[in-house]
Amino acid sequence: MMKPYIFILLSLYFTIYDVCAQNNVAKMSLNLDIPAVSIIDFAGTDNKILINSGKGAEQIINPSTLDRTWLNYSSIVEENTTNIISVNLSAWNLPSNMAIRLKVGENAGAGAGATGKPVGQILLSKYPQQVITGIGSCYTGRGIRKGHQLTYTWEGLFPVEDADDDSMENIEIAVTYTITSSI
Amino acid sequence: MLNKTKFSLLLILALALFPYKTVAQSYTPGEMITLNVTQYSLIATNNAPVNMVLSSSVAGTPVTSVSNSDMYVKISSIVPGGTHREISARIASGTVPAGTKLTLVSAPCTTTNSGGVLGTPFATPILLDGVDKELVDLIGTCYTGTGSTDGYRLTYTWSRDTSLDYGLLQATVTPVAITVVLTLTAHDSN
Repeated sequence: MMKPYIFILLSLYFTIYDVCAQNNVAKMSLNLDIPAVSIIDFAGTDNKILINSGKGAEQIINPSTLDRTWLNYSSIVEENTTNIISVNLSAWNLPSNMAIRLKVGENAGAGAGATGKPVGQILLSKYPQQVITGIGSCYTGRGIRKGHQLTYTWEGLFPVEDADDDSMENIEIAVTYTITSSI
Repeated sequence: MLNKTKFSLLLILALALFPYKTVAQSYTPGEMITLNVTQYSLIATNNAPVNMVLSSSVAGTPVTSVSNSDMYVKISSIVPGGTHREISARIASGTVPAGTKLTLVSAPCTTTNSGGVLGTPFATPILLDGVDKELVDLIGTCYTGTGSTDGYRLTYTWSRDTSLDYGLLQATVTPVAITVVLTLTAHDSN
């Protein structure tokens, strides 16, 4: 009658014995921090590119820039927020009859994460316009054929028969890309 | 018969509660020595702050992994013949941010002020989670020294988990506090 109880009793003794022996612990405190990140940059072979890396990046384009540049970015966002990239002309000597159309390509897929969606094509102006939206935590990869390809098209707003072709070569336009939180 | 059973149960309950304070007295002398040994098998750290920041500084690149090797662990251990201890680690509180992983690995014990059977660290870093995993094995009777850079140097590495969607990463509003518990285990022959 007593034998099962003795077994239980012995089990309890050994359990307590083990707990005593394992009571040797040291605690370490760690702090892990992920700051929000939003940085953009250009990649391309065109030597007319001036790069001011950071939240805003300025690119000097001319009529030969065309589709030779790519937009790279890295982004880490807080919960329930996204980043957007806006574009505006920051310095220009554009003939009054000319406009520049910008087409932002789809992300080339070299990176990972929640890369943004291009809005399509816009006509550049001095007012910032959103070109890539819904950027979560992501990176595009760095270099050409990574990120979003930028295609500039120079358009005459109305025909000018006597346009001086040489004057086009001197045109330099500064275009600023800015990455900001959508909130 | 019923009363006898009840009495037996009460007796067992009383005895079960009893040994916390008097366990040593109820053992034979040999066992008592073992218990005393565990009481001064000690583990402590140099209390180095471990603050890590996961970020990227170049447009187009992912966050770069960060490491911290400031933490040293000191122990004193005496074991009965043929047995040894392990140092294991687990996360006791806090959650590693989504999309990232935290690993820990130990270097062999420093030799300047130490002596005895100091054990062998596992070469592969362990992935820290809520379950105890072994860092150092085969620790016998030894001491590591007491200086702030004596003992087993630990290296924490925090990185994105490449097996998960990068989009899971989120900026932390405030730094995430994690408590890692090291355990110097009971001696055994495993």
